[in-house]
Amino acid sequence: MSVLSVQNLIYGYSKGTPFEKGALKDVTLSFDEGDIVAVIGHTGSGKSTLLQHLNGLIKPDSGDVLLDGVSIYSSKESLRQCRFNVGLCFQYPEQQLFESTVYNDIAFGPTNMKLSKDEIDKRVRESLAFVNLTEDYLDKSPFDLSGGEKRRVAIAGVISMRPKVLILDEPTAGLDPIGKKNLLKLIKDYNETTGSTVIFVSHNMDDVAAVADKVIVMSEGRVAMEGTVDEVYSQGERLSQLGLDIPEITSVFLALKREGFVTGNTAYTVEGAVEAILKTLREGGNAE
Amino acid sequence: MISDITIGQYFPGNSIVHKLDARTKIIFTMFFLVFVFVCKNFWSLGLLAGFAVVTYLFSKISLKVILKSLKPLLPIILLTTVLQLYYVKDGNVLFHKGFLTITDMGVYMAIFIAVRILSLLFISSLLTYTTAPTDLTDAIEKLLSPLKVFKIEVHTFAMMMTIALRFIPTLVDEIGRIMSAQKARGADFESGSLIKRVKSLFPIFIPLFISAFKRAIELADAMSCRCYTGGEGRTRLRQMRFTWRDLVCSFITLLVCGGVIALNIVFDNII
Repeated sequence: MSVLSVQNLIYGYSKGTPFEKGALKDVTLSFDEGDIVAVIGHTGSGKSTLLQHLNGLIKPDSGDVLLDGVSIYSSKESLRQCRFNVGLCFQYPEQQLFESTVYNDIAFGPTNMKLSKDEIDKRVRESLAFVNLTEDYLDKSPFDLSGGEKRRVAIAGVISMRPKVLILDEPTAGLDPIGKKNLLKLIKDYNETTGSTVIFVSHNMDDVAAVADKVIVMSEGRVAMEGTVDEVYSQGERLSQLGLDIPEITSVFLALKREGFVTGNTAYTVEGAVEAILKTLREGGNAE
Repeated sequence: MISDITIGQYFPGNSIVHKLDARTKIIFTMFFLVFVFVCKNFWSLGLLAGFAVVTYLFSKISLKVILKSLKPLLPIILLTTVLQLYYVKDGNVLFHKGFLTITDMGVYMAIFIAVRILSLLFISSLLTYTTAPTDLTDAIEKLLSPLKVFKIEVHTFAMMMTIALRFIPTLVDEIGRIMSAQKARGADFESGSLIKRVKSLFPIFIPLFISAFKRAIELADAMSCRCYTGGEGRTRLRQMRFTWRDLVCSFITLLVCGGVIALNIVFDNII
């Protein structure tokens, strides 16, 4: 079932000035409950602009955003509720930390929701656990933490609102490989435990293959491709026309397949490739 | 909203006004600003305002930009105009009702003041519209360099100004980004009591200051990595040159200034 959808979104930056450029040109999309959706595309393709429409931070020039089938612009209250139901975590979210302690910073969202003190406390601890930080961190200053820890605290600050839809703009940007891997696992775990929809922007095609159910490819303010990871990644040529690459492991796999060394479904992760190769070898072994 | 403010912005171009030496522009803008107050009647003010308009036409800045920059200042202009109408009681009465008396002198004064303010705005914004910030600070440094005699660090001062100007758009962007991020967490900047609103600024300004300090440190490091040691013995990539254009411009401006004084003497003064 569709939890969030956008219809015919049109939006242009800096209207009426020499700097005008179309940012979104007629975008219609719908996001299903419980899915992990990756939004990919070249720089300037309108990904970030699209994300900011989803929780009403940017009002479209025309078109509508529907949350549970209701326009978020139907009343002032619906817009405010949308901010809580659609949690948006910006690129480099650690830059938005401001409180004196980690506890207070994570509590900022729930406090704005005017929840009771007990409920806030519960949510802060719960979100902290989600991002794999111990309760020792609660009394620390967020500015004393390492980059990766700050990022996780900032994400906890969004998760603590318990959004139905969690949106992350390039969550892994600037993290080391281990930090990246942990964060992707965290996204997956969050989605599985809470059943929330997760939408994230990424430049990294390997990251996308690792966690996403569906992929949306944006190009020049339009939806260029849309579908499951298999559907989108199988069109390698189209992707490279849009300035994107299929994951390295996939191109190796496709080459092996062409030469007849492996059979079966195309693999997008190293684990998947290993499995497929083992399977082919086993089957080959049986036949002999 | 924030991006609507065009005062102090630079619009790159290739016009005669753009090509003038920044020093010439600064000096004659100052001349102009002083002479706006020297004008004592409509004839002299008209000459000066006409000069401002002609300069604008030469600069090829679009009318839209100018009107947009005047918009936020409109209330100030209107207020002063209305006050003039109300306070000036000399001359023939045009309209009278209760405490309100409007005289022809009052109307003249109101128009006079409005034209004066507009001319000031026009010409001072023209300076920043047509001069790159770096050229502007270079010129200020050059013009203030005699102050070195008094052991004033003119170069440091100019460098500080360059950096400040350079970072205004960056910080404006940053404020926008931080505001969006906090709004996404349900922050409300638009409603509530005064105290609540002031408090709601903390989530913006604390991250802003932190990143500004970080930027300052990074910039200082980058500058020292490229062997920046201050103004001593520093040469410039682009030398400022006083050309025939500047000579012509100086000549015209001085002529206009002379004209203002002459018109002040010939015609009756209203101030």
